Amino acid sequence: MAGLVKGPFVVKWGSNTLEDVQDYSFDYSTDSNDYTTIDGRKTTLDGAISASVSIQLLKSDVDALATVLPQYYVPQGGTMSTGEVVASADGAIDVVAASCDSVTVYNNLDIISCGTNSTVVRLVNARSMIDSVDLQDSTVLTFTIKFVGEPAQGDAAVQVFSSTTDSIS
Amino acid sequence: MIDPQTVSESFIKWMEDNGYGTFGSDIFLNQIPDDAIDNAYWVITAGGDVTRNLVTAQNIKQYSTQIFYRNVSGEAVGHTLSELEVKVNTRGSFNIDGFEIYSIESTMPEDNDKDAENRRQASLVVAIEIYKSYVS
Repeated sequence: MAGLVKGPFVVKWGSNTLEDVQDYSFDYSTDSNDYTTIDGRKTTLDGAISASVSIQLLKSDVDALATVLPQYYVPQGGTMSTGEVVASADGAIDVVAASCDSVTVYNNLDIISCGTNSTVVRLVNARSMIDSVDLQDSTVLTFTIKFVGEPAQGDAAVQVFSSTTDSIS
Repeated sequence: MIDPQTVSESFIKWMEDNGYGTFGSDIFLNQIPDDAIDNAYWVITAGGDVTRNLVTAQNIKQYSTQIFYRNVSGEAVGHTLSELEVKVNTRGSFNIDGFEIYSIESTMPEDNDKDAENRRQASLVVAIEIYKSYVS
């Protein structure tokens, strides 16, 4: 029986639960090509799918960003790209352009509704990147993180399923 | 104010810590006693609202707290509440115990005329937005 999929939601990237999510947007597009036959019929053939989720974090301190941007995280005692040594126990975020040695972190991004029999919307094999940095209400600095789905060949871009364990195997 | 539990109580604690007076002596909550001294504050909890619900269960709630002050000197009333307004509206430096402030804003002091015992009385309203995380 159909039902509402209601929040509040748990947002998980891999095993990490993302807290303090203020805003959420989902972008989805499918490549398509139109073909017109000589007798005047038009057919649209769908191709590759791209999907991404943007999440605005109300709490955007180093601790929060380290969870969603592990590729930029420098732990205490580490050296930033500009030469400074990180003294804080929280570490630091050092956003450096990708290079040959960069490691991209991929995880499934799950949006899980509330309740015991919740619904999961999954962005498959997503990597993270900074989408924007905003000064909200001239009061609070927030980061918006974009998760870009890059599924393996033949895998789905987006999945929806019940959280009960027997719904997927 | 020992162990403040509410926003109004924490605001009173801030007032004590910043030299405005002592709870129970010249600062009171919600009701000023009939036998209170002339120069006194009373803080009234004045409602509020949930201003923002986050995707992940946290929310931002706005609490309104009205601060009254009376004094036999009208000038002292004006100066004291004006100074309080400036301190509150210097947002970055304002913290209260036990709550994470998202934003804080005070109205300008408003004169409320003299009371029956010829004491000048004025008030202002402090709107405090509190960020509340329910995730442990």
